[in-house]
Amino acid sequence: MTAEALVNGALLGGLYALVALGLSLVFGIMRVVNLAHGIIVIAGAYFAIVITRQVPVDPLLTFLVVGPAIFLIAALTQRLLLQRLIGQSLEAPLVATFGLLLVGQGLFTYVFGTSPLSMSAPWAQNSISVFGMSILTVNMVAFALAVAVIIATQLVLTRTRFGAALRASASDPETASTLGVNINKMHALTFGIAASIAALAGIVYGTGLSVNPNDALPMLVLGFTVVVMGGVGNVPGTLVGGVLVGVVAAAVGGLIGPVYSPIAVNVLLLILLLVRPRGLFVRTTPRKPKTPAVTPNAATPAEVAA
Amino acid sequence: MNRRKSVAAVSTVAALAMTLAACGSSSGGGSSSSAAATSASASASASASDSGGGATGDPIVLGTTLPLTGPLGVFGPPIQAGYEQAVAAINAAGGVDVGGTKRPLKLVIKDSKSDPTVVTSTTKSLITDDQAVALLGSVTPPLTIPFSVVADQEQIPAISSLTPTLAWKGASAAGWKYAYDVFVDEVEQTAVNFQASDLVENNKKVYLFTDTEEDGKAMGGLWEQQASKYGYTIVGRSNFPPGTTDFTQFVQKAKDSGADVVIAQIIPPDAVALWKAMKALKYQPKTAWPEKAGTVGFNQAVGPLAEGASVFGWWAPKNGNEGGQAVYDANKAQFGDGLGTACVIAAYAMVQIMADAITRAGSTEPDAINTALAATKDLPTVLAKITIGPDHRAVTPVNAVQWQGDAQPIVWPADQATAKMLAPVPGLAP
Amino acid sequence: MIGSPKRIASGIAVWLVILGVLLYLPGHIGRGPQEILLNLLIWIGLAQAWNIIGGVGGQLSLGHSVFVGAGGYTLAMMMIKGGLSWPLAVIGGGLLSALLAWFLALPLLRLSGVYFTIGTSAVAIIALGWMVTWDWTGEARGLNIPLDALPSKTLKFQLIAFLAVLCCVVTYLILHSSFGLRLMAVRDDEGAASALGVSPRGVKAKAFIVSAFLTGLMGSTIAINQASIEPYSMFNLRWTVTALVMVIVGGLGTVWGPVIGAFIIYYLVDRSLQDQPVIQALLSGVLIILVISVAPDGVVGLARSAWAKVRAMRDASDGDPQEPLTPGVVAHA
Repeated sequence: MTAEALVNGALLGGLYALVALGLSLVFGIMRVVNLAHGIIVIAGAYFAIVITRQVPVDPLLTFLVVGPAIFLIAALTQRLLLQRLIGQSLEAPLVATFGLLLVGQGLFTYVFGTSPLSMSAPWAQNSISVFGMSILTVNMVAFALAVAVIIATQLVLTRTRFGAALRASASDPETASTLGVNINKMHALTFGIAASIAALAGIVYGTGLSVNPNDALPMLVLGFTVVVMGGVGNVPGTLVGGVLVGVVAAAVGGLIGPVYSPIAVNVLLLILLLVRPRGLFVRTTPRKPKTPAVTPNAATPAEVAA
Repeated sequence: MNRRKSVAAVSTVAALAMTLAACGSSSGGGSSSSAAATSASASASASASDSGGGATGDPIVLGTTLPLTGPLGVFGPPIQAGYEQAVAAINAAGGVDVGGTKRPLKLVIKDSKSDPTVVTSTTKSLITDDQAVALLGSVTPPLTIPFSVVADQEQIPAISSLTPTLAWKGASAAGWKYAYDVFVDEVEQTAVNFQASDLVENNKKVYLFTDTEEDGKAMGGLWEQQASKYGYTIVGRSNFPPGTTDFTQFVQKAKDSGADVVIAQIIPPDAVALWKAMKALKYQPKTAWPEKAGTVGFNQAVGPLAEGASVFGWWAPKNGNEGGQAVYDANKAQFGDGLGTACVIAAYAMVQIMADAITRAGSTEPDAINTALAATKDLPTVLAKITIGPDHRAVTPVNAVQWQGDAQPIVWPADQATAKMLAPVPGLAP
Repeated sequence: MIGSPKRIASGIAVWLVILGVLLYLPGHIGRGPQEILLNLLIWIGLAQAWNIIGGVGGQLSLGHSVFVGAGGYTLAMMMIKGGLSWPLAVIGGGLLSALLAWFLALPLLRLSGVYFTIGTSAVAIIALGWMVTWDWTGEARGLNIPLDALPSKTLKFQLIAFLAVLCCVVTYLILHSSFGLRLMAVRDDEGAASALGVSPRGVKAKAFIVSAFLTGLMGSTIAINQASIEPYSMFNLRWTVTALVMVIVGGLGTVWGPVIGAFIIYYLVDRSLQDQPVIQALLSGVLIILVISVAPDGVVGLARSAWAKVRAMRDASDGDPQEPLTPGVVAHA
C-alpha cells in the first residue's frame, strides 16, 4: 500500500459521496428509504449516454439537460405515487420504491441491454503527478464536484428560508404545516433535488467507470454504507463516509488483498453502527441517544438504540 | 375517504378473484394453459421454423432456458438466434427423421434471469410443463451446472456449449449421465494467451487480474501452472471481488513490474474500470486480454479503449466446420463481426448434434437419445467436427481474436488468422 | 390476543388439514403444477420465517440471506463431507442458522429501525464476501450434492410442504402466545413495553433466532432442490428482498400475509410473466406498485378494513375490528 493508493482511494470516495448524498437527503427529510436510488444514478448515466451519442459534448455538460429532466421525473413520481404512501406506513414507500427499481431496471435492460456502457472524456483518461504520486484526474474531478455539491447543499439547508422550511418539515411536519409550509411540495422538491444530484453522480460514474442495469442494487448498498458511516441526514458527513469507504478499501486492498476490501468496509460499518449509531462525527449523549432515523409514527418500530 | 377506501377494497377483491379464477383454470390438468401459453409464444417467436417443408408427425419439443436478462443477458439473444435458426433450417429441410417419419422440431425458450436457482426451476418446467424431450443449454458454468443437474435428475438428455468443459466436468464427481458439454478445454484455452502473445515481441512477463468467481480462480490457476511451459513468467497476480471499482494501485503494481502481457479474468463492469485505470495511468502492455469481459460488446463498454484488446475465440472459418461461414455471414450484421456471432454458431451446432442423435436413436425416448448422443462421432457441424468423449465432453478448437474497430478478427493460430495482431495495445496508448 | 386453547387448537387444525392435503398431492396432480407448488411453498416458508422477526417483531432484517446460505451450505457440507443422511442435514442447517443468529443477535439487536436493517445487510455482504473465498466450502465453485443421496421427488415435496406449514404454524402460535404479545408490544412501543417489564432485546433475540432457524431449514431444502449450490446465489440479498416484499404486500405481522404475498409475487407477478422476459421486470415493478398503492397495509390489512366496515354496516355492534382474521375470511377475500 502506498500513499498514492490512499490518495486515489480518498478522492474516489468523493464519487461515492456523490452517489450517496441524495439517499441521505431523502431519508433525512422525508423519512423514506428509497430503494430506487441506485437506478436513478444509473438513469442519469444512461440519459447522458443517449445525449453524447448524438452530440459529442463533454459528458458533464449533459447535466444541463439531464439534471432538470431527472428532477422533473422524480418530483412527479413523488407527487403522483409516493406522496400517497408516505405516512400510511413505513413499509409501503419501501415496496413502492422497490417497484420503481424493477421498472427502471426492466426499462433500461430493454433499451440498453445488460452489457456495461460508458462515456469517454479527456478528464477520465489521464493522471497527473502530484508530489511524485500519479493521481487519476477522474478522481480529482469527482472529489471536487462532491465538495462543491455538498457545500452548496449545506448552505441551502442552513442559510436559506427554503432550507429552513425543509428542515422544519423534516423535524416536525405538523408544526411546519400549521406555519404554512407545504409539506408535499417540500417533499417533491427534496425528491427531485436528490434525484438530480444522483444523476450527476451517474454521469461521473458512467464516465469514470461504467453503468449497467444490474448495478442498481450494489449502487444502493454502497450509498447506504456511505450514508451510515457519515451519519444519516448529515450532509457534510456524506463526504466523510465516502472518503472512509475509499480509503479503507484501498488500504485493505493493498495490505491484505482487494478480496477483503468489501468485508473490511462492512465490518467497519457494523462497528461504527454499534459505537456511533448517528455517524462518526456527531456528538451523541452517552445513554439512549434518540435516533432521527425512524418514523414519527409511534406505531412503528421503536427507535431506541440502547 | 371511507368511500374511496371501500371502492379500492372492492376493486382489489374483484381483481384478486379474477386472477384466482384465471389461475385455477390454468393449473388444472397435464397440458395446462400456462404451458400452452408458453408454447404459443415460443412458436410465435420461432414462427419461421414451423412453416417448414413436408414434415409430418408430431413436433419434437426442445427446451432451453437462456439468460435473456440479468448480468449475462448479453449472451441470451445470440444463443436464442442460433437455436431458432437451426430449428428453422432443419424444419425447412423436412424436419428430423425419426424411424422413417419426418417430424418438425419445436423450440421452447424461457428466461433464466442469469440466476442459477431460476435455471433449476425453469428447466424443470420445460420438462414438466412443455414436455421437452431434450434440452439445450446456455452459457457459463454457474448456469450450465444447475441445468445439467436437472437433466441428470430428470433423465432428459441435455447439451450445452459456451461453457468451459473442465469446470463443468469437475462439478459431477460421479460423471454426468444425461448432460453433455461441447466447448473448449481450459488447459488449451489458457495456453492461447501465451501462444498468441508470442506473435509480438515481448518480455514474457505476465500480470494476472482475476476475480473470485469460479472461472477467475480456476483459470488464474491454469495460467500460473502453464506459463513456464510457454516460456512466460507470472510477475504478479491480484484477486478481486466482483464489483471492484478502484484498480489504481494494482495497475501501478503491474506497470512497475514491467509486465508486457496483461491477462484479466474479471466481470465486464470491472474490466471497464481496469481498462480505464490502465489508460489513465499510461500503462500500455504489448498484449492485453480482458477474458470473459471482452467477449461481447467491449467496444460499446469502453469505446475507443477497446482497440487491440484480445480474448480467446472458439470458431474460425477454417477450423474444420461445415457451413459455419454461411451462418456467420447471416448473423454478423446483427451480432457483430466477432464472438457475438460465434455464440450464434455454437448454439446452432447444439441443435444439429441433438437432431443427429434423435435420428440415430430412431425414437424420441430420452434414454434412446441419450445413448445416441454419447455415441456422436466425427459429426460435421457449423461449429467444428464433433466427437463426444466418454466423459460427455466434446472439446472444440481454440483461437485468439482481437478487437480491431468494431470487429474481432482471428489473429492466432497463423493458419486460421484473418488479421495481424496489433501491438502494443493501441487503445491503451498514452 | 392470547386465544383460548380451544381456539388455538382449531386454528392449528386448519393448518393440519392444509398439510394433509399437501402431503397427499404428489402423484395426484401433474408434474408441472407440483413443481410450481413446490417453489411457491419454498417462498411461503421463507416469507413466513422472515415475517416472524420482520413483521411480528417489526425488525426489517436484510440479513436473512445469511441463514438461507448457512442452511444450504450446512446441509451440503454435512452430506458431502460428513456422509450424513439428508434428514439430519436439514435439521443441522436449521440449527446452525439458529446458532449464527444467536451470535449475531448480540450486536445487531443493539440497533433498531433502519440501523438494524443496514447492519443486517452489512452482515449479509460480509458473509457473501467470506464464502466466495472460503476454501473448505469450495470457494466460488460451490458444492455439488450427489444426486443419489437426495430424497425422491415425492419425499422432497412433502418435506418442503411440511416445513412451509411449520413456518406458518409457528407464526400462528407466536401471534397467539404471550411471547407474541410481548414481541408486538416491543414493536409498537419499545419504551412502554420495557417500562412494563418486558426485555425488548430478549424478546427480539428470541424472535430473531426462531426466524433464523426456520429460514435455515428452508435454506437447506433449497439446497436439496438445487443439488448444486454456489455462494453468489445462496447468499444473494435477493432472497431477503423478495421475502420482504412478499410479506409487506401480503400484510406484515399476519399469518396469511406471507402466504398471500408469496402467491402474488411468485405466481401472479413472476411466474405468469416468465414468457415475457424482457418486459417482465418492468411489469413486475408496475404490478408491485399497483398492489401497494391499493393496499398500503398489505392485502390482509385491506381485507381487514373491508371486513370491519362490512361488519360495522351490518350490525353496528361493538365488534372489535382488530380481531385477527380467521383463515376462512381471508380465503374468501
